[in-house]
Amino acid sequence: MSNIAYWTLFLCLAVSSYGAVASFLGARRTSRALVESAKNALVVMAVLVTLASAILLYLLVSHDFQVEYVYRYTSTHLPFVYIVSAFWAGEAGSWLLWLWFLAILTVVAAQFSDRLGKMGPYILATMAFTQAFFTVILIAISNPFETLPFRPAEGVGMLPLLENPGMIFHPPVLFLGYAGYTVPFAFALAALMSGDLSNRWIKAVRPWNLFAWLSLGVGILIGAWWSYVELGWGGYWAWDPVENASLIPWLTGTAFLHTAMMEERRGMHKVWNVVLAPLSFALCIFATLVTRGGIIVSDLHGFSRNIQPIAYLLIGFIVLILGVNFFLVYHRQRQLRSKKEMESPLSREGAFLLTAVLLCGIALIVFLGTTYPTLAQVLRGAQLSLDASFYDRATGPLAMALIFIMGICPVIAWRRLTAKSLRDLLPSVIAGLVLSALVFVLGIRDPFPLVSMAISAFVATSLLAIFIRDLLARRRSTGENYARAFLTLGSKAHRRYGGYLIHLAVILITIGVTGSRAYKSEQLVALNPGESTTIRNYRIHYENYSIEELNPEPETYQSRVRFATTLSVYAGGSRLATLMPQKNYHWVLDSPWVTEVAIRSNLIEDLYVILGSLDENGLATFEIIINPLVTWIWIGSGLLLVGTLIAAWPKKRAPAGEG
Amino acid sequence: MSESSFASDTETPRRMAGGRMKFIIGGAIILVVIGWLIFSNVQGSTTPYLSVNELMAQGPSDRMVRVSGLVVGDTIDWDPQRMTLQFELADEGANLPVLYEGVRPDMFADGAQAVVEGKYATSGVLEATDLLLKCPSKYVEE
Repeated sequence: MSNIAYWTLFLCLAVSSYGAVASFLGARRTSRALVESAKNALVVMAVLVTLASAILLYLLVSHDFQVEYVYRYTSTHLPFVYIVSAFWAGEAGSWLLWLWFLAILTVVAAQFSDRLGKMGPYILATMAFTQAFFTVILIAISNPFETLPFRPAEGVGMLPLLENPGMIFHPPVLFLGYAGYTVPFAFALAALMSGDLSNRWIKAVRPWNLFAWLSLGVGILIGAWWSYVELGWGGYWAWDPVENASLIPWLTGTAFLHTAMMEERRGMHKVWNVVLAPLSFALCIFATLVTRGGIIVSDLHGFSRNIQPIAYLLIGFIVLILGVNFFLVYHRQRQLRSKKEMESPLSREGAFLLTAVLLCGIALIVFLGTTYPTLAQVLRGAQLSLDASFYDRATGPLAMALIFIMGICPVIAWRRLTAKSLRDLLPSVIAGLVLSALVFVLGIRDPFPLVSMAISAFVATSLLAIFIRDLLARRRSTGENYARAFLTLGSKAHRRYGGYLIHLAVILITIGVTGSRAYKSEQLVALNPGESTTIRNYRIHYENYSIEELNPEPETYQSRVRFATTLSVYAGGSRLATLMPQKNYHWVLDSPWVTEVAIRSNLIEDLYVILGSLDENGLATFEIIINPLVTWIWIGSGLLLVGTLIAAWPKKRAPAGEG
Repeated sequence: MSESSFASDTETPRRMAGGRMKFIIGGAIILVVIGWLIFSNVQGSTTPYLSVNELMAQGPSDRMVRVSGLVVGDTIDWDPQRMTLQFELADEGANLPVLYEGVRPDMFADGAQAVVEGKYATSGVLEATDLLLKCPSKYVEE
């Protein structure tokens, strides 16, 4: 079985290489036959990759432990969903998943490529070439179908940290985003190679771009949620290199989303677009380099730099992408000049441009911070670490400015600022000042939350006000009632309102981040059963404890000793909840302790309890954290998803007034 | 904003020249701000790694430092009621006394590879604010 799959990979390499060459030659010689044949090859490729993936799934489900991948990541104790999710628990499987996504996306993109004239075949060539590259990785470096010389009776099992619903969704969604960014990259390169630098590619790439952007964003947010509920350190974002690496392409991707809108509407920023799309894709590859390549010095993941062979391949690929892109941009520089010049920085165009600049600035800071310890070690031989406060302090002011622009942008006119837009902004400015005054009266004196809250209120009211103004205007001009006007506005200008919803979602996330960063309170306490402690207005009573052995035979990653405690939470005399923070000792693992935190959340704050230690007499140490407003991060994430779907919805009738 | 409000674009060359300058100045200001944000914060957030000998040679200071070494088993003194952890960190033949307040980390044991971050106080004790134990290389999967 695994042999068939491995040989399938060789077929994949042959077919995708053929697809790349045939479509490229087809494009150069304008040969329809060659392009058609390349398209067929890409369908065959998708079938082959699907076959290989199905075989891996079958091997996992049938517990074929002779296959090393199955042996290393599963055991018979593992629940079925995690056997399936073991597909992407390891490196080799996640490459295969990425390739599978890419193969499917390519087939879909190929269906649309005919409408793009001479760009079409170049898109296919770029995507097929990328597929061939991934197949090489699977064959030469990271083969999921590697077999062991014998058949073990039991597998090692999955790392307990990965046994969490977040880990079922986080990697695939993230990889979908990475694979998705191949499409904007391929479109940009195709536009450059074919010389068709009208805004045609920008219009056609929009749904792809939103898709990739959404997948990557949601993937990151699920990762943050996983870190919060499973890693048990009380936070959701640690500025760890692995986290940063996935954030960087999302930031440049967000910048691209905005500059693409400018080219579509105003014919500006052509150079930005043909650079940002390939750059975002290259940064997705960089993210994998950080995760898999062993080049980044990280506290959590050990200090030694043992560069993996895959690192050279990935670095080579990144250099190739950026090199070809740079060459083509240079080659086409005349056609890339904007037809229109911007008139005033104080205009909507100016705001869009500033947005893109600030996003790229933040991306640059995160990139430099992530690579800084490595660079310092290589260049100066100095061992140092950069703590997370660097990112907060360096990106914070830029992020605040960015969010502030979100509030101004919908009000400010194209071309230049008018007195009317300033008048329209007045209520939001007042709302922002009132809220921060209120927060100040409540006793908050730190500048960060004061500024952040003021800006959030400013933007939220500004977005709301524009919607109400539109609604009233529509009602006046058409005579529709409020409900009808609301619906027609929403469906006719869904791109615009979808965009506003996304901005509102960003505000909710900002509120959550502000609350949990600025007002986190923490308490360390040692308690015997029957004792209580209080934190803020909660009283926490330690009821009892248990220590028991689970799945001892045969020994797998799922064999453990469970240390569990039961706590009752009271507030104002009434019982609120029962929390059961636990620790598990997995004696087979090198780092055997896995903490299971207990969280009680509501819209105002999360009570987050970590069991620090528990001895045989029941003496336990707890770390109790109050994280205000965290839930709003997850609510904002949901709204982000909804807003993007509304914005990306295919339009039905005539183009609506968007902005 | 309706479509019609910007349908007629008549650019005037006179404006463009003045506009250019504004953008160049604006862009330069942003670049300077970003550069300043990076450089001013890198200094404050960088913590050097020192060996125990290097730290002792430098003597007590108010600066945050990171020191790594092996935990010496029979010097561990853990008080669960007060949640203080005292131990010595051994590195290249020198021992450094460390005081840490907080939960005792799970992997904390004799011979564990630890990294402590804190200030080297005049009492000759490193008052640690952070105590990290190096993960044995297993935890590499996403």
